[in-house]
Order: sequence, then C-alpha cells, then structure tokens
Amino acid sequence: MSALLSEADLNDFISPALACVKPTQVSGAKKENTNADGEYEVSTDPDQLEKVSITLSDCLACSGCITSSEEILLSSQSHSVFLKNWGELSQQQDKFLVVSVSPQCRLSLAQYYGLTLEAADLCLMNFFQTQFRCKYMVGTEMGRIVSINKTVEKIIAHKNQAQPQTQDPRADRKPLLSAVCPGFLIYTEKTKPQLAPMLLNVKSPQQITGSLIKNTFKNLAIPPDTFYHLSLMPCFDKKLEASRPESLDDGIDCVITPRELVTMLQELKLDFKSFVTEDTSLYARLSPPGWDPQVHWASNLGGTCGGYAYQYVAAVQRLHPGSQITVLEGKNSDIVEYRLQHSDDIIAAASELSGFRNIQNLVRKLTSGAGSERKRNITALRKRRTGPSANSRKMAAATADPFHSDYIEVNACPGACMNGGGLLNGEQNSLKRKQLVQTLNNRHGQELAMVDPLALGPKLEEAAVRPLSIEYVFAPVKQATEKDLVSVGSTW
Amino acid sequence: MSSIELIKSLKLYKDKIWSFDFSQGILATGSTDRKIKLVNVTNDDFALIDVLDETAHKKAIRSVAWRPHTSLLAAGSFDSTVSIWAKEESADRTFEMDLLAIIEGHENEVKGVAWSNDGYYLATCSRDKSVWIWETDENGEEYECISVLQEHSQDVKHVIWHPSEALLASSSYDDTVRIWKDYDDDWECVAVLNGHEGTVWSSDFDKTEGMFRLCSGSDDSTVRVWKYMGDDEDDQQEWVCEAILPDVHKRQVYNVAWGFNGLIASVGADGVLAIYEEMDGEWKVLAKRTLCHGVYEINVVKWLELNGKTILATGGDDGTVNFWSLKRSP
Repeated sequence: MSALLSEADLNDFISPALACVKPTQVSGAKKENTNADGEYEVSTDPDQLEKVSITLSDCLACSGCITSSEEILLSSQSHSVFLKNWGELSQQQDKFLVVSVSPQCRLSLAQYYGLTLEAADLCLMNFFQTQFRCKYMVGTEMGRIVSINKTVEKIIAHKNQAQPQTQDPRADRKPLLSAVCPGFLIYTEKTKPQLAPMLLNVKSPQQITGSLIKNTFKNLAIPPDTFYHLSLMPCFDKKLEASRPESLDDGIDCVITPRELVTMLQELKLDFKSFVTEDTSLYARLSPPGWDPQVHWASNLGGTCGGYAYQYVAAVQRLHPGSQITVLEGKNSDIVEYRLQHSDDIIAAASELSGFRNIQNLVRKLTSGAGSERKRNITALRKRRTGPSANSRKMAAATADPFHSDYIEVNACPGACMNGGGLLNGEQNSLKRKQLVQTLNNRHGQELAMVDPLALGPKLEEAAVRPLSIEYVFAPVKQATEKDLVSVGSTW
Repeated sequence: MSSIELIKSLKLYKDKIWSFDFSQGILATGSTDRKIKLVNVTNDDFALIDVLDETAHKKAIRSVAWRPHTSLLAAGSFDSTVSIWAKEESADRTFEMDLLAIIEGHENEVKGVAWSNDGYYLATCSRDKSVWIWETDENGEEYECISVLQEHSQDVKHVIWHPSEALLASSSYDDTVRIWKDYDDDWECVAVLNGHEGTVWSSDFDKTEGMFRLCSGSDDSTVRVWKYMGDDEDDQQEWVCEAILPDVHKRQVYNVAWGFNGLIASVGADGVLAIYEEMDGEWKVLAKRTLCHGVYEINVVKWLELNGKTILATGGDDGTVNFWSLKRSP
C-alpha cells in the first residue's frame, strides 16, 4: 500500500511449491569445486547443479504441503509405471500378476460403462487376464475384515481402559479417530499433530490385502518377488499410503485409480466393454488358493467406505442382548452416528464424518482448550447464557453427536470414498456429483453381497499362519513452527 | 459538479487503518497495530469509548464487521484467526467489549470477514485461497464451519453478503469475483465474474430490493457493475458486466460501497474518493475528491446514516477516518 511497508505484515500469497524444501537441499558431494588454496569456486553455470528429484517418500517426510504434487505421484505410481514395470517383469515366465480392487472402483466402473456390477467385474478380470496374464484378482473384503476386527478390538480395549474413572460414559472422553483414509491421516500428521494421539493405529484394507496376499504365497513357499501386486483404488492419496515406509513390506507394487485405468484402455486402444463375458467362474478361477470368492468380492453393512463405525457398534450390541442401534443423522449429509442404547442408556456410539468442513469442526471441537488462555473472558459471559441455547442443546440430542462417540470413521472427501478423486465422476458440478455418490451408494447396497466381518474375522486370523502387518507407524509429532514466509512482489 | 466536503477528521492511529464498520452509532476500526478502537459517532465529540485488547491477535487487524443490529464484532487478522467481541454489561454504563471467542481454521492471513444480514452466518476469507462459512447461535458464542469453499485459485481479499438473500460474493487476487449460494446442505459456487484485469479488492451489492447487482473494484483501476441475468439448466447463475464506471482512478481501487441511496463510492491507492450516479441506465461521476487522506492511500469507504443524514466515511494509511458529505449542485 503506502511506500513504507510494515515488515511484520508484508506477506501475500505464496505458491505451495515454494514451501517444498527439497530443491534447496543441495547434496554434500560438491566439495571438488574447492581449489588448491582451499577456496570455494563459485560456478556460474547452472547446469553444473545436480538436478533434484523429489520422491514420494520425500513428500511424506516433509511438512511443506499436505499432499504431494500430481507430477510426483504419477512419476512413481501410475499406469505408465505399471505398464513399464510389469511389462519388463512379465518377460519372465515364472512371474505373475495379482490385482486387488476396492468395491468403490468396481461400482464406479460399472456406472461409467452402464453395466451391472457383475458384468463390470467380469470385464475387469477378463481384461487383466487376457492383456496382462493376470493370475489372481481379488476384492478387498478380506483385508477389510481384518481391518474392521482389529479396529473393533482396539476401540473396545480403549473404552474398557477408560471406563472406570467416569460414571457418565460420554463425559469428556475424546473419540478415537480412524486412520484408514490416507487423506485424513496425512492431513493430521502434517498439520494437526495434536490430533495424532487420537488416531487409531490400524491399516486400511488396501495394505492388509497386500499383506494377506503376501502371506498366502509365503505359505506356499512362493517368494514375494515372484509376483507383482497392482491395486485399484478410488483416490490418489492411496498411492501415498502405499508409499509409507511401513507399507513397503505389504507387497503392493503400484496403486492406480479407475481414471487411470480408463486412460490406459484408451492408450491401448481397447474397449472395456469388449471384454464382456458370461463366464462367472472367473471369480473363483482368479481367486488365490484358500481365498473364498464369496468373501473377498463381498462387502459388509455400514457406510460404503468400510462400515467401521457401524461394525463396532454391532460388535458391542452382541455383548448386550436387548440393546438397539439407532442411526442418527447429522447436521449435514456427511455425518451419521450409530448409537447403541439399552432403554435410555447409551452403551456405545460411533460416527461417520467426512469432508473438509466437518473435519475442521472436528479439529476445533477435539482440540479445544489448546487456545484457552486466549479466551480468558469467556467464563464471565457464559454466566449470562440464557434459555434458548440450553434448549437448543437438548434438541441437539436427537441428532448425531459425533464428537461424543467412542470412535469416528473420518474420510477426507465430502461424500466419502464413493466420491473419491480417482473415480469416474468427471467434470460434473458438485450437485451432480452428490447425486452420483447417492446412486453408487444405492448400488452398493443392491449389487454387492454382504458378509459379516465380525463372524468371519476370528477364522481369518486363525488361518493366517504368519502375523499380519496391520499397524501404521505414525509420523513423530512435530513441534509446530512458524512457517518461513517468502514474499513475492505484490502489495498485500 | 457536486462536491464532497469534509465534516470531520478523526486521527486514530499512527499505523494504517485497514477496515472499519458502523453499527448502532459505534465505529469500530482495525489497524496494523492490532488495536481495535471504538468511537461513538452519534455525539459531536466523536469520543473514543474503548480500545480492545491488542494481545488477542498477533498481527494486524485486517477486517472488522459488526453483526447486524447488535453489539457483536468480528475481527479478522493476519495471524490467521478471527476474534469475536461482545459488549459487556457494566454497572456504570460505560461501553466495554470483551473477547468472546477466537475462531481458528484458516491456514494464513484472514483478509475479510462479513456477517449475513440475519446474523447467523459469518463468512471469512484468507490468503489460503479459501472462503469459510460459519454458522453461529443467537449469542454468537459457538461457531461451526458449514462450508469451506476452495474454488478461488489465489488469495481471497474480500467477502460480502447480499443484503437480503443468502448469497455471498468473494473477491480475489485471481482477478475474479465468485458468487456462492447454498444448495442442499452445502454452499456452491454458482457464478464466476470474469473481466477485471487485476486483483479484485472488494465488491458490494446493490441495496435496491429485488435487485441482483454487484459493483467491484480492482487493481486494474476500474469499477465494474455486474448484473444477474438468470439461472442456466445446471443451476449456475449468469452474471454479465453491465457497465465499467467512468475512468476516475489512476491506481488500484481498494474498496467500493453501494449506498442505500443508489450511489456507488470508490476509493483507492490514488487517494481519490469518487461517487457515481446512475442516470437513465448510464453511470456518471457525480463527485470526485483528490487527496482525501493527504498523500496516503485509502483502504476503505462506507456509506452511513448519521443523525438523519447520509454521509460517507473513509479510512486510510494515515490512520485517520474522515467523514464526508455530498453537496449536490443545484
């Protein structure tokens, strides 16, 4: 504004790229420029500088931006990488391809191509089998069953541990938060470390499926480098998830989305629907040894992202005969609470919450108190609180109250996984996307077989000879630091 | 030509005044020095009645807004937070305001705050390129984020609500104004106003009932008037640039104000205050005054009713609020 700019407030928009610290870290092997006198020769030729490449793991380790740029994602996890790497590997006859696919991707493909879910599944299997010698193809329900059972176990353990001190089970206890959505997990680790202690440490179906596949072949004495595991997932952050250090051992080689699958089909000049077949025996024939196609291709009750919240409440219900589950709608369509009640007592409660706006409220509600010294005058004013707001509180009891649940299944995308960025929802405006999510959710209920993960879980764990890798290693909680601000030109 | 005459000059700060707002005869100002000052403008002495605790914010107060018809004030700061202040009842009838809440959420500098006409929504915008809509209760104590709007590609400079409809306009460094409307349970961008060739610093709605028009001021030194034409089949609104107001400013236009009298006022980096009038569908410069704050830039302009008269107030880098009356030529 005026000629004299106040230094304290001189800052305007900086592009996220500037916050990426990696390019400024010049490698240490530059000392050869030092001459005989020990003086450092400054090179004026920029070409002599080593080109810095940024990898996915750099992005995961950095606190600069929330997720990495598309360019970086695509350079290490993309359909081209799959085509190249599997193309090379498949030259060796003993190597084989395993593909796992999430239910959201299957429904999105079915909707996009105007097929039934089964027809789309068969096209997908036929395509990978004929084009890429795919030997095994699985749904992610097995991984989800393990993930759900571990989650339920941990919530119950946490609740039992916390219970004795308080008479009121809903008083001042903070809910556990799901870490299954990689978008929310990375956001929490990088920008909201104060929430990290609430994260529930159980891996997602994607990673556990990888681990289960690896286990299956290990038991058959087939080493992990014999197969290539491609995972088809609804969002781009799933690539980041597979690139986490503790994920690398799960044996997933590449994660792509339905969008990339469609691009790949175009590049190969192939029509997805031309792979249509009525051979439903593919479900069984492409199942790995010991994998029941009725199970791994199925889904389960609860939300379409995994149903963790519902399954937890259902598990507690089995311990309390006569109790009832009520489904409570929230302030908006992205909040649902499952509440287990015995007469008027709330025995257990878990919620689904998705979308950035709701996550912001979650952050504010669950971290309140952190800035309490700045609200020192509030107590005085609270005394003046009159009738209306006390009433509105009572009324709120009839709607979902996720922040007093035992557990919140958090998803970063509004509309959750059925609105994943990697699905075939095109350039539609958000209103139409909402309708599409609704359609996909309805189809999920109609076209997928439902299994009971709570009944199947114990059997699965018995069957697993080797322990599965099911826990994330969360990023260490960093002290929040003031970001270095770089000013670029403009006034304010 | 009509003239603009100075009624009163109020030196409040050493630093610049970024923003001010009036409600119930009280002027609230925000400045780089983090102090929010309250001035009673209903009496001739324009007494300073309160200075709000500057430790509530770590950086400059960029924007202040009174909740309509109340004594609740929102202040957005470069420290990325928004503070809410409430009038405290006091026995000796002095005017005192206390910090009621700090709203956190934006990643960096908050550039604008605005209340909806019914006072239940607070919109905030930031250098983080987003606009947030908060819902609040009767007392203004609790704030729940109901939407985070991220369509702007750059710094969002300013937000303003339509005087009667639930319609929000945001102005940005990306040279556009976006119009937002609630659908279902979320807010959606229903229009992008393209045309300015530089940062849009602010906008204001036509106050005429049933009218959907907006004026906007930009780095490109122009003021434009936009008109809503109707909805298309995708529920998007069509807005057209109806007029570019006569060329008055030589530099950035920082703030525009559309008065209840139908006149538009604009101020900017050139220190000029201009008033425009629409005559038979054509906009003319009604009055213009240069050096309104000496050599300093003007950041804010507002129309207000004071003792039955419609006057103008401007705030500038000289830390002064000036009050002006429009003397129409006979």
